[in-house]
Amino acid sequence: MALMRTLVAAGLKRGRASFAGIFLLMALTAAALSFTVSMYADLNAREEAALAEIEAGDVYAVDVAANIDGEVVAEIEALPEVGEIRLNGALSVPVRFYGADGEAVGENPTSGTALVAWGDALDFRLLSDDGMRLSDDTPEPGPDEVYVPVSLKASPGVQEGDKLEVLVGDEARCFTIAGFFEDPQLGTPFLEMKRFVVAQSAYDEVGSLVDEAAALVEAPADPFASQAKFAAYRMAEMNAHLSDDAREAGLTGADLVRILAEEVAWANTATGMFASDTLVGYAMMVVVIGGAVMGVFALLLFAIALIICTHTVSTSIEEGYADYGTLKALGLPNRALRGMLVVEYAGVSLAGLAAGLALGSVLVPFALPFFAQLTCVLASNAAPPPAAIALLAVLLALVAAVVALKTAKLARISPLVAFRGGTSDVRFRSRGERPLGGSHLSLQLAVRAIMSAKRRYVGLAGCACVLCAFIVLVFGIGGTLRGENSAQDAFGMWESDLSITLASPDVDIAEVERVIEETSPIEKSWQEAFAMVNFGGEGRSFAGLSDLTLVQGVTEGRLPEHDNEALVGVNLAKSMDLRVGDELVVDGADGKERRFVVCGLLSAMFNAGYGTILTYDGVRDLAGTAEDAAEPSRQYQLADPDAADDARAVVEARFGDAVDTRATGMFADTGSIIDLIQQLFAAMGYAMAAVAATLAFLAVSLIIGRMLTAERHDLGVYRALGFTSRALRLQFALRFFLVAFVGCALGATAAALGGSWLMGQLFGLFGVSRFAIDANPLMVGGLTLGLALVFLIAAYASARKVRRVDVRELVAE
Amino acid sequence: MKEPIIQTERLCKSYAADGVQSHVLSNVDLTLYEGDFTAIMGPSGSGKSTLLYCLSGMDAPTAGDVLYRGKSITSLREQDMAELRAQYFGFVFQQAHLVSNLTLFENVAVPGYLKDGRAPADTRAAASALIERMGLAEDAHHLPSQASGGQQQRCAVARSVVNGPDIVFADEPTGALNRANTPEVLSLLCELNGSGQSICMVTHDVLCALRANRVLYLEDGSIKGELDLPAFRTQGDAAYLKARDAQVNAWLSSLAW
Repeated sequence: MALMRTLVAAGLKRGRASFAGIFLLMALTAAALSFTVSMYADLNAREEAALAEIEAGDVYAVDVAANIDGEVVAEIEALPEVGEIRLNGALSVPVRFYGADGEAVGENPTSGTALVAWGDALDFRLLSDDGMRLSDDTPEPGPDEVYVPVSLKASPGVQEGDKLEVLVGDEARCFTIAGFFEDPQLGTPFLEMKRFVVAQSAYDEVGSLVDEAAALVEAPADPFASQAKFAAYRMAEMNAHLSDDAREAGLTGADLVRILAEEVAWANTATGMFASDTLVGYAMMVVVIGGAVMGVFALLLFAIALIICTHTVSTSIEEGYADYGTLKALGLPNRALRGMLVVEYAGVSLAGLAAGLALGSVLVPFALPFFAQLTCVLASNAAPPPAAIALLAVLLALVAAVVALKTAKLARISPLVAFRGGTSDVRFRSRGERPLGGSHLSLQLAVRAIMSAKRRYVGLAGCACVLCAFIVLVFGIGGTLRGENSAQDAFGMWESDLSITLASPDVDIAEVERVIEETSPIEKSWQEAFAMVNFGGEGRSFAGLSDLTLVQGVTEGRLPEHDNEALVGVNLAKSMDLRVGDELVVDGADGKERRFVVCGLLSAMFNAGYGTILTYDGVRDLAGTAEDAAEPSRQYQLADPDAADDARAVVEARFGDAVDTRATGMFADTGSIIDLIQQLFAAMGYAMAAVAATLAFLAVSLIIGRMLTAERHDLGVYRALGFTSRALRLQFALRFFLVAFVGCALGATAAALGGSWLMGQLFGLFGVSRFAIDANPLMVGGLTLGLALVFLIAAYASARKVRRVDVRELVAE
Repeated sequence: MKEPIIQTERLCKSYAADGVQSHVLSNVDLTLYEGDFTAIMGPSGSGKSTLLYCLSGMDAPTAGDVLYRGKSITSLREQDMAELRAQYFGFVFQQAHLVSNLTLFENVAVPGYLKDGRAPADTRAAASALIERMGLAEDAHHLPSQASGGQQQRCAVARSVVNGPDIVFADEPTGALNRANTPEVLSLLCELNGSGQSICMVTHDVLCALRANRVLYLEDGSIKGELDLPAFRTQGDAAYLKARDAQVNAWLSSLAW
């Protein structure tokens, strides 16, 4: 034991620079992995806990109040699978946001609104003023105050003190935003309805206004129909819980949704009914994508650490050949020598992984408030989850296994060879057929060095390959999302430059368009219709456009040309086993069956891949609004998009309140989220490039350190022959450049060819099954060359130790 | 009148270890001339190798100066020193010190490629000629690990002269060779000297020293004596060698060798 301790300590001391690098890489790996896993686990745990705290049901439904009457509730309660049901009122009211200074917030939410009363609705928890923790109690808001979901901080970007204006007919009621709350059910920006909490008295007051307005205008049949968000009417929210028996039998919210749809007539047509797992899926959408990218990054770090471990073990054996032979001659068994190396590497890796685990755990709490804007739950950090620790244990075992494998070559060392200095173990293949020509000497010597000891460079090529593949992938994603409307196109969304809603029957749309064209010619104009339809109990989105050429992302088939054709989201098609040419049967708002021919499949984030695109008239027929007046809103794309603000101002000046110019397009309020995603990937691209450069420097410095030791003799000879240290550094730099370039080229090619498929698999979880990463050859080539040059610079810088090689060492021998 | 190539002025070299100063060379004044084959002899620890490496600029003196063709080389920058080694100096070490991943031919040619104003093709021709002259033509494309010690050292000799240096410094060039290979290498050096190559060789072997036309005896860091000899006849018979050996030994005996 004492001998082993002595040898391990000596080994660690001798290779301290390499071990320091391995420690650092392992620490970074563990930090990234534990951060990702902890973040994912914390957010999921909080989502689950928050749903439990507010006593959210296994099934959530929202509908026009008249649709969920006592009879329906009794029918649901009678089902053996249903336990408790909680019903509360909500008001659908159009809203506007204003800053504290009275300026309208640019992008108002186009999703529906559910104004609920404090005490009647679920008991949401308020965030503290600094947004870093949850308040212990949530007081009833004042009569002029409103609590809004925390996700509204990101989209549309409101702050405490801003105003929320509720519009009911000609009446407007203004509330001040007094706090942000967690809404694990509907809070995520990806859902079509937002909930706002007001005091009971304020709710009653607005309710009276709604009732007065409803006396004049009939409430829509479907709260998710496109026109419904412009109307004020009473709704009801229902949270249905599984009975204890049903839960024990293993039923889930999704099962209950299906049972409700089969057993209850209302539920069979309800458009706003969701299993709690479905809502959790929407809330965690960005977390899953971010977690996947971070996870890949962490594994990339680990791969590099492993490559360097492998390389270091090999060169360490090569360098210590004589020492190992001597130890064998002294009677140490091969197993003990292998054990010694495994202990050294596994020990350092363990220390690095432990340090990284601690670092990751420290960082997670700082990131959680950011994710609250996307998930609408504020997680608090618990201890690192067992999954993170298990994952790190697996990585440690992998390191130990690789080291054990690499040390197998110790068996080939004989004491005799060791006493001869290990030279007989060095074999170079003669390259006499192609001797060095003399021109470009540094390059030729670099190539010779690589070809003479190819295995020494395999690790380096591997590092370059994975680093470049990852960078090309991240830049490819960033490139696809960069640019005006690029992100929308990639995610299968469309956006207008200007929305016009006629608020007065006296205004003619043709006249409004003439005014717009005074500022910029109109390139496209269209109308949108929207409806939710119940499929197997859960609400699924249907959108119709008067101009379907706006729809991107047809992966199979074509756009709908007739009212009975449907372009079906890939996830919906998968879940219903639909193919192009199949028939999709849907119950309309009037309860009558409509049959659509699947004319194509759609890759789009629309309803997370469960959305369907029909013709404009097709959706209006489905929603039961075909006979009504046309949609009051029109969307415009201008020839000069930058002129949109001017056009809006001109229209407002000319028509005043008779025309509403606020954005009403289906994806109008996703702008902030899209910006956020664009910024995230752009920042990630640069961050990854910086990390890759750092890793390249680290890897090169670790590898080159060993090489300099191994080649010290030859370097001394070169110096004695008149080679300057600069020439030798250049030779090293060229070696690393050539090897890295090959590795980078392989990685870049793999990423360029397979990146779109990979991202399609990842984003496909949310409906975007076709995501073409930007594989512009200039960019890919530039990144390949750029990273290879980083290796060159790193090698040139790291090879400065060549200067320490003294010619006198040759004499000392 | 011979032209001086290397001159020293009160050359001193000392090392400090554990606070103790050890003087290896003390005020050495000497001159190496063009065309000479100079052998520096002396007992172990006399400072022979240190003197050689100070003369060749591989080691810096503690005091005094080393002049190459009248110009000091003791404070040259790394770049200039590399230039000096590449263009004007050649080296043969006790070990061959060949670059392990270059063939014998390439080991000879590579320093030649550093020669200013010479085309690579000319270097290849010069390297080929030297390889031929050293009797290595058949093994030219072998790697050092595939060559014998004698072959390696002959290759090192060829490498040292491929650039046509002003002077070749040889540090115990036969020290690591067996009896069969020693005369072979010494003959090569004599042959080179015969064609005008200046050589400065450190040795403790009288058989080696008698090949020189000038022998310096170093003891305790100072030159204690100098012996001038006629140029060595490479075709000389056993009697010639014996007579020359006796002359050198008598001189060394007078110096208490």
